[in-house]
Amino acid sequence: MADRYWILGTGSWSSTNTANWSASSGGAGGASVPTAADNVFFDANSNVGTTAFTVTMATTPRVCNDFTASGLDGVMTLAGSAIGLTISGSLTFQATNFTRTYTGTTTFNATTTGKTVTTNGVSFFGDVTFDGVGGGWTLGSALTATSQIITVTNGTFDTSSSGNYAVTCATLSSSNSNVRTINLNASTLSLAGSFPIIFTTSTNLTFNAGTSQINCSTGSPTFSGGGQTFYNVAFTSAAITTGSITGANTFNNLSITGRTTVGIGVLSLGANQTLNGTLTVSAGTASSFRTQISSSTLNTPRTLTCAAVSLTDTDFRDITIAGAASPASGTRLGNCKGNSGITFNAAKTVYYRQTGNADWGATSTGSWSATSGGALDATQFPLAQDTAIFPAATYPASGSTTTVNANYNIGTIDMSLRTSNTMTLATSTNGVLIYGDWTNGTGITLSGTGSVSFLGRTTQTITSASKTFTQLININTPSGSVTLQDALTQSSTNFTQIVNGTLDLNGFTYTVGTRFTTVTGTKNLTFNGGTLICPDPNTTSFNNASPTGFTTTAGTGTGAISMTAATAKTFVGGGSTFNCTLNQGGAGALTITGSNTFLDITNTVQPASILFTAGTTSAFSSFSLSGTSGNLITIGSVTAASHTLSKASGTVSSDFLSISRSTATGGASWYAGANSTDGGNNSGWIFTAPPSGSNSNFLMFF
Amino acid sequence: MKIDFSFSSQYGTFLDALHLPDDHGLTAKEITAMQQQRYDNWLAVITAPPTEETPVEEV
Repeated sequence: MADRYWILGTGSWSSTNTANWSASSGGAGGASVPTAADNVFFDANSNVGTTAFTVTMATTPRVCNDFTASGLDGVMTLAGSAIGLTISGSLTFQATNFTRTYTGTTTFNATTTGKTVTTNGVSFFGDVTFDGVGGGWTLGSALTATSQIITVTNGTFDTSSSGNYAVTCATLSSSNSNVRTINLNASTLSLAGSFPIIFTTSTNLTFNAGTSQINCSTGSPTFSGGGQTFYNVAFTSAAITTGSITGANTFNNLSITGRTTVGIGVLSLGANQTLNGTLTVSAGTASSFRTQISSSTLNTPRTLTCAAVSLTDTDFRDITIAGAASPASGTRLGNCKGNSGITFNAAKTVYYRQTGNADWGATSTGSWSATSGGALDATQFPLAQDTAIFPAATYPASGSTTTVNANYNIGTIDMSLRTSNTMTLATSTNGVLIYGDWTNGTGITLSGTGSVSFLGRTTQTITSASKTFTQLININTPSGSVTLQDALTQSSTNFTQIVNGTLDLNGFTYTVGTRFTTVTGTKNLTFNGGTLICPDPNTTSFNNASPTGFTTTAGTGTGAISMTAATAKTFVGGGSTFNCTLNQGGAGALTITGSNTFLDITNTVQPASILFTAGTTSAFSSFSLSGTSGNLITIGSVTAASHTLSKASGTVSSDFLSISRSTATGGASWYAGANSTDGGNNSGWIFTAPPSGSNSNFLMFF
Repeated sequence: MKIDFSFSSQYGTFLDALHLPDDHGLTAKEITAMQQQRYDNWLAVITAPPTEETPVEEV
């Protein structure tokens, strides 16, 4: 081990330059470049006189044992972008006359304890890593690495039980299986990154939270606690959009700052959490500035075991509160379903009270009243269990626009009284999350490209009043249903998706925009004689993208899915059973993918083509395709191979078909009709009219 | 009261309902006109030229 002193001011700390290194303070140059065993010093004799100087690091990584900047009488800048510095001993920065601009990682790799890190207020501009098996580092001052990651890979990192020094950085990370310890004592950690804590893999981590305070200031924190025991943790952003906590962690206090940004900030829980102290969610600017605590998985509750709670303007979804705080209560708590151990405010009916163009959620006195035409009351903001009514007139005045100015959880929205007095409900790009019914009045116009989600987990209804929905319509109501009360039409700028629950057409026509699509979940499409119209010409006009868990129910009457585009469109069946009729309702070729089962297949236009994916088998209870003279229905395959059509019994009685690459089978008699054309590569088709006395459902035997 | 009605079209059957107050006072002709208007509105939507889908977050 040797000592190396920097001399002669500005120079390069490289792997070859020896001119700036001396074996003594202010001594002659030419000493060897420091090795990992050598202590380096920057002091009053490192520069010429008191002039400022720059030590530029080169040839990563630079190494030393102890790093000491002390006694500097001129400003020293330690520079060199992305150059790593590996320190095998301790580090001391001088509080004044010392700046550090290089952005490389500083790694402490000692394998013995007793090392110190004393930055004296000088910030690291790069990441800091503690990675020495058996090493131990204790802070000698507050540690700041603004916007950087502090990683503990091996060894023991200690904030000092006597100093309780603060740590400021983006992230404290220790996610591995090495033996390591983190002692936070009574320190305050200010973590500004989107991932403030990363303890995802906490195997062999000894985490001693002490009585520390961890403040996470970002608006979108992912707190990966790794199942550790923390002391006080606070999410301090007043503008949380989405945050999450993963790992089954324990806290003393967990607090969430009230929002000063309109709308809902969502904190999702990936596992159960235990609080030995208090769960605090503070009030925001107004009751429409809300915080939501949810399970990270819909319909999978997470338990918060709390000794105490202090809750204001908080919505819960799939949360169980247990422990001494249960049943938990608070101020303006919204029930977004799936909760227990929480006493929610009783459902109320509130009335819109703004007179002109205004927002759904507003500051000051808000937009709602407890009585129709009553006084504005900030506390009457409609919650997920409430009914929001728009009076027939005045509130707002005819022609006004009410803007859903952020994502909101809403119970029932009743606009049925708006008839002669018009109103636009504008959602912009925001999400409207509905837990009750949606009722339009005939004077309503809907605008905006956001989403309307039905999440009620019970019976919900939609009354459209012939008003076109411009938003994405999302059905995600586990074990619940959404039932049409009249025809629903969605504009061609958006689409409908079903994730969980039943969409019951209830005998009405549901016209989707660009597509109807299924998403992973347990979902059902019930017809009850209704029709799903898919008018858009694209490859996913009807897209059963997630057939697992997707069922259809005929109900009363015969329902239909009608593909009406005038140009090519695709029915992506996903191999499901469709208890309805599939209708070719537009001149464009209809491609059917998957081996699906239908009650019937029809056409309401001709000529038209219906193309099946080669190699698939489509099963039908009835088969009702027919063209007219000069307007044939073409049945073929998408590619130059055959498809199979199957019907178990009875007689298919078609006519004016042009058939190729089609295998008709299953037990039924497949009569293409006397006016149909055999395009070749067919099997099972009989190109004559059926015998007299037979029909599509019965064979007559004499 | 709810008045169900339907129109057959080349695109399939349009199935809809009018929800009216029990004392609506509308004549049969007015009700028929309302039904026709709803059907016409629907036809206008499904026969409109396709437009580009606006990307939105799927909730």
